[in-house]
Amino acid sequence: MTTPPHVTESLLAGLGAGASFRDALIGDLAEEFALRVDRDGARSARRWYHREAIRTAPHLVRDWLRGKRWRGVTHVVGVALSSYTMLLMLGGLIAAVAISVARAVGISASVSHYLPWNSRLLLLVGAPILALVTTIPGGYIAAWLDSTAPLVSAFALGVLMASANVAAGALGTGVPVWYRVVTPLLVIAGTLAGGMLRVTRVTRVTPVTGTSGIERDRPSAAP
Amino acid sequence: MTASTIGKLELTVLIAVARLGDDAYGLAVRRDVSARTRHDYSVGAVYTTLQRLEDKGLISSRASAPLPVRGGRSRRHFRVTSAGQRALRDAERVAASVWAGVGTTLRPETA
Repeated sequence: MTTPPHVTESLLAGLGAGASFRDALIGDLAEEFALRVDRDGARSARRWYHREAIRTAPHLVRDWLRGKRWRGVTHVVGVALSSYTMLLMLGGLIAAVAISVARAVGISASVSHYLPWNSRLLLLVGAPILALVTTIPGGYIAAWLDSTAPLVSAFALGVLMASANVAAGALGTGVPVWYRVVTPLLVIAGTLAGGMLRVTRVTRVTPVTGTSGIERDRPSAAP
Repeated sequence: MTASTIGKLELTVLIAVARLGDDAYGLAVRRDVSARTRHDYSVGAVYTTLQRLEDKGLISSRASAPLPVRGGRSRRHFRVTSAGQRALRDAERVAASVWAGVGTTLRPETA
């Protein structure tokens, strides 16, 4: 088994680096991985690969930011806002359908109707879990909208939603501190999980061939 | 481009590219640099440095044919440009000038 861990490789590919930089780097990791499998065994090679992936990820993000600057940032913010809107619309649609079905069947559509007397505690526990579950589709949508840097966009959506959550928590009274800390973190984790889900499903690593612009411009480059 | 505008790692990587010649691609450069400096540089750090050198016009790159061992990806081979050669000569001249007059007992042992 000399194929690098697929999920980790897909995640590296989803960090938005330029195609030539990304493919050369991930290709080198794959080549070194194959050598280490023969030399040290599969388990040791996988461990090395994951460690190297963590060390390499910031360089891939840096390459994505390189040259794009504000254009890249505004693009990601645009994707985050679009996916947030789409997620809200999706949530609204699901809620509307659920309420319509409940009314048609003749049962109460109010959640509080089914909650026991200590519903506040149940909500405090259930809401973070619900936040995690509902943000996964959001991260997936963000990654789907941004084919160049899907994970960066999913993370940006997480930050956007977490900020909204923090703002809402600041306005509310009687909300425990742990709740205000845990929920935004779960929101970011959920969107990242959604982004990863998308990236691992669709990995587009297109081999790049050709010479750099510098070499084309300088045919007399010294050997 | 003068030696003073090149960082330490950039110079080390540039020398490695010059030393490796036709075999200078990311993995080989990383091995060479890590072995000589006794520091385990990440693949990303070496590629970022190579990219920076390419941006400065000191090296150029070309992609090889896709290789199965790399999951169908190409190797990116690097070579020193004439500007890179000038920068290397300049760096050596500066180093020699800096070391001039220092007694042999204080000079580092070179491989």
